[in-house]
Amino acid sequence: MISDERELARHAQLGDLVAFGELMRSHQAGVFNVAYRLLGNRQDAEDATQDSFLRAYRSFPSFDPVRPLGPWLKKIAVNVCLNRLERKGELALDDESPPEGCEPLPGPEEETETRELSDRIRRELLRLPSRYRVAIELRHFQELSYAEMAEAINRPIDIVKSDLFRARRLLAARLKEES
Amino acid sequence: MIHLTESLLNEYLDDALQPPDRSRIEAHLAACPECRSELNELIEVKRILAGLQEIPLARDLTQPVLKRLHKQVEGSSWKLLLGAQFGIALGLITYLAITSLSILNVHLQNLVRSILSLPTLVQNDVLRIIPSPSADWFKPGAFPLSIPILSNHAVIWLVLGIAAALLFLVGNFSLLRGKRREIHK
Repeated sequence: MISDERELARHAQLGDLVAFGELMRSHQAGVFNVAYRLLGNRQDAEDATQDSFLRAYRSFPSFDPVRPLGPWLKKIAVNVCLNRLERKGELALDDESPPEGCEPLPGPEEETETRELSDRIRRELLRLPSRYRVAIELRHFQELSYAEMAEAINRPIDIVKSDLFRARRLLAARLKEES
Repeated sequence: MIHLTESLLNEYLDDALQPPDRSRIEAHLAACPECRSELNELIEVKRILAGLQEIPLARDLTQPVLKRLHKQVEGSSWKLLLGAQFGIALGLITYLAITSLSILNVHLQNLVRSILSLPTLVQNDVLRIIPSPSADWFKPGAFPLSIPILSNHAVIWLVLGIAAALLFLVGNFSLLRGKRREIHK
């Protein structure tokens, strides 16, 4: 499977759109979820997903096919979403209102309790200021180190750590309130 | 008792501390219920986030993206083809202008001598500006190409002309074939 993906990536780097399409099919759900966690509504998340893959195609010549593709695509998605949030002026720390038009989407078929918990988490994540949401995304969902997080979004490592720690504190307090 | 800072607690949670610091913190946690309670809250957040399920995509986004990429690629190919055709056309026109001037300069020289009644010294200055035709350029077998039946002039016209024709035919044909395939899809 991995060697198939590397082969497809090599073909895509040479401009093979069929190969790129295959790669996109494998990774679009993951990228969509990154966008949804950051933007909060399906339409924006789908648009951001498409933009992420368009940007990935343009940057593909510089991608090393030996590296895993998923994390690279998700980093692109984070930056695409950050740009969107900046354009909308939603990156302010004091902006605790959920993004416009957002509502937690129903998850896959799962037990009621699990679904309710997931809904609660998504709601609270969307209530976080965008910068904190990005920090949570990069650390908890993409499992990047502090240095990798700072590099991914081009911010100083101290700021990134501070955002992450405060995000966790806020989430902990809110989840405690709700329960 | 001095408590652990938020930063230390989080770095401990993220396994981002060196072993000596880690041991020191573990020793403190063993003796401090408040810090232990704070850490447990952070562990709970981590656990809850790890349990978040992914949302399925409602539709395949591949086709719209590939469509846009096809258009971009096609657009670049057209631009490249047009640019190349324009370049060759410009080359042909430039060469035509230079060789025409060379061919015509005999007439220009006669014009300068007969119509413009200038003093001889001035005439000579003007005639020096007009390039003299190198007759050899138009003779078959002449230096530098030295092809027995063709002059340098003829070879250059032939090469540029064939290049332009090939580029036009092959380039436009393949792009049109691509477009037709897309329409039939």
